[in-house]
Amino acid sequence: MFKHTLSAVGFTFYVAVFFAFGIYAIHSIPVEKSQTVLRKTIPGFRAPGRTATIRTLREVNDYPNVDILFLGSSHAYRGFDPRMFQKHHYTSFNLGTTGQTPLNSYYLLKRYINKLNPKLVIYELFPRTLESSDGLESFYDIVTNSYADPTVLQMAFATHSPYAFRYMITSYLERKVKRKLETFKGILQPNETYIPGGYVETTGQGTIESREPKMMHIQSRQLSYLKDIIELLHEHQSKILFVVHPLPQSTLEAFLNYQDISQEINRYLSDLGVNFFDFNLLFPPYPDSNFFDWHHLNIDGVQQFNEQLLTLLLKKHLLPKRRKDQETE
Amino acid sequence: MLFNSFEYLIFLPLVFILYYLLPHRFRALLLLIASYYFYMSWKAEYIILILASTFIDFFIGQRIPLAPSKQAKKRLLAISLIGNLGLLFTFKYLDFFLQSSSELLSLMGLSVNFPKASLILPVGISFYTFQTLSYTIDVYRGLLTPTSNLLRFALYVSFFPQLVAGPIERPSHLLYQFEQKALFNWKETISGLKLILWGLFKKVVIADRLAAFVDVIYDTPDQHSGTYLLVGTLFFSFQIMCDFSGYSDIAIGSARLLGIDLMKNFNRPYAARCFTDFWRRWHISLSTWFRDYVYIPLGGNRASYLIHLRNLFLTFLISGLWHGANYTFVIWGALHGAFIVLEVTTRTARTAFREALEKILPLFVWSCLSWALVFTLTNLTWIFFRANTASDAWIVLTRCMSDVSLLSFDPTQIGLTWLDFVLCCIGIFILEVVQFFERDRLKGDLFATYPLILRWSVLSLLLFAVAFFGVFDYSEFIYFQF
Repeated sequence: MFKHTLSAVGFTFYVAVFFAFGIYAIHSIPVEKSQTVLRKTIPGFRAPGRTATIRTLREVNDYPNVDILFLGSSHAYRGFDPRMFQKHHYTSFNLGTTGQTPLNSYYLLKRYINKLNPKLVIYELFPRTLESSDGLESFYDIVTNSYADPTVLQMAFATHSPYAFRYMITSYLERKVKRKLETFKGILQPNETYIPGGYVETTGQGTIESREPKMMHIQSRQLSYLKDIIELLHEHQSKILFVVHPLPQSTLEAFLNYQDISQEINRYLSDLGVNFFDFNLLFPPYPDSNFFDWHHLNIDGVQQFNEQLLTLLLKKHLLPKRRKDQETE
Repeated sequence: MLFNSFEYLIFLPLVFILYYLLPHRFRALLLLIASYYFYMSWKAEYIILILASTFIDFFIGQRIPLAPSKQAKKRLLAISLIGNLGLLFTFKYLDFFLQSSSELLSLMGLSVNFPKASLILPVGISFYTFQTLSYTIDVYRGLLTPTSNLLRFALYVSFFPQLVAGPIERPSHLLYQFEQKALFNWKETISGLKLILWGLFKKVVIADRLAAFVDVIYDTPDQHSGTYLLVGTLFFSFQIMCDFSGYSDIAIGSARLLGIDLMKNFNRPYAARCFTDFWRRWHISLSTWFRDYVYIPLGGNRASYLIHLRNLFLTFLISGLWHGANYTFVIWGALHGAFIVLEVTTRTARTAFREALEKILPLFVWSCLSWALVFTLTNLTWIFFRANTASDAWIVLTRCMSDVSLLSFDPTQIGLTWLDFVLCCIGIFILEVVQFFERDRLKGDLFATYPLILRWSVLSLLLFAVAFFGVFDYSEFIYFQF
């Protein structure tokens, strides 16, 4: 038994050394366009700063104790304008990131909830984000644009994908050897403006491409992460509500079972005692001029949506007491 | 639950630990629950089919020795055959049969459109059906005493390492092992882990990386020149070998962790120098099953010469059909049957030719020529196996023979990279080197005789390759579709 244990320990040490040399080797071998072998083993590897996430995650620490926190995918960071909530004297922060699924949201919340300490979380739940079983796309975005910490490691395990660990190693090695994270500014398109607080304002109306009709299939894993998010917020005495912002009519028609999926989500969230407002089923469709592509609102669409949302929440008394008012009291 | 998934990484160690913690009398139950859970993680309701096969064949197996006459025994066997093959036919071949009938009738001037059943093929049905049939057939033949233990029989039918893609085990080899008390053995555990690692390397580093090339090329063969189709075909021959033998290695390794010995299913098939030898090396559990339960009952080689040839051809034709409900698989089987028949009929002439050649050229020249011919013809058959339709296969075949210029090959033209291509080639090279040095190891205790540092280096290299070069898009194993 002792001999086998010693052998196992020796082998583990040997593997660790082998891996260290191996990673160094494949990180050093350039392939094409100055990319290394290590980088090329990961499909879809991106350098930091390719999305607004780098700016968002840099700013988080500047927004302690907000009234409202926005979560979700690009629908969130392009769909909720903190300035509109500021007009009603609500402080807010938009923690939406590219492709964020409930799995990713849960770990982001774990990381930032003590700092942000929101009274209300408004989660933009585009049903398509529930189709991903692993949240890898969003994981890549978060890892590449922020520093390592235990929640990132937990998120990596949660993806159940070896690519997550490979991505982490590559990302951190590149920053160690090549450019530090602070040197990246964050690239935006010419029609985009980053508004402090995590919102990306988009002007102009793009082409609404017609989509191939398809059925959506949501993953039960992602639904169970919604439950975990609700429980985490409950422990912090924060409330949450879910919304789906308007989509172009042609997009809605392309998702053949959209209504069924929305109702399924609604039932699930109702059973958990939280509100769900799908604007596509509650209100008349927005004109195409309110969108800059097949699923994102432009500045006009965001304004209309945020006004409609605020009116709805005020009417239903779902907005929290402002921290400012509480302090005054 | 796939062998190359995160879930299996949790499942297997858990079963392993519980297995050795539990007293022997509870282990079969643990393995049965684990096996049913493993299968139900795909589609829970299809467990009913396994349960049906289990109960039918258990009770028929019990009744056969008690039957008063040979006719009565035959009737019971017929129930087992009809029951199991009926399920297989319904789920796997019904739509193909209906479509073929419709086409045949339309050729005769009758327009009939049968409605499609569109049943989802239960994973592993082709494998566990054959495994249960071998039980009832062996009991009928008097080769096996039926078991009175339903639990162990159910485990024999559904044992998770080999349930969905083999090896197809014989009751005389597997069933009695569940009665033996397995003691934890470090050597067997390490051996099993090494085999799992080797299987994983073949699957995620080689097979799934090759699949990227093969899928692009074979999905639209009419859009590619002979060069790409030839490379695609060669890559497919290694893809299917690594995919299937990788699966078998993980299955055998997983069983070995539990002290269960499964039969070797692949033995360097591309080293074969004739088709008879190829089928002694490729999917051994299936080829021996067809030999014992189709070829020999047809008469084998104990009939007249022509009937013998017919038996050989029919066996391979049926084997082709077993692989899938598509004419391409039938053609694949027929080609193998034809090559085997050709080998048998030309045996004398080939022997004479070899003897004449050995007088003027070294022996290895004949070996090389034989190997090259068999490998080329095997690749030809793989064209039909992989192509989506017979007409696609014809496009591939004709262009491979006419429109080839290897210097014009550029993987970037099909959306892939030179790095992917180089990694594929390195993977195949490592595969062949390891297989060559391990060729004499019957039990498959990989690298056991190497010096310590070399052994650890090879294992570290495999682990590193899986961790950093593995393709983990969780593609299913090819033989799951059968």
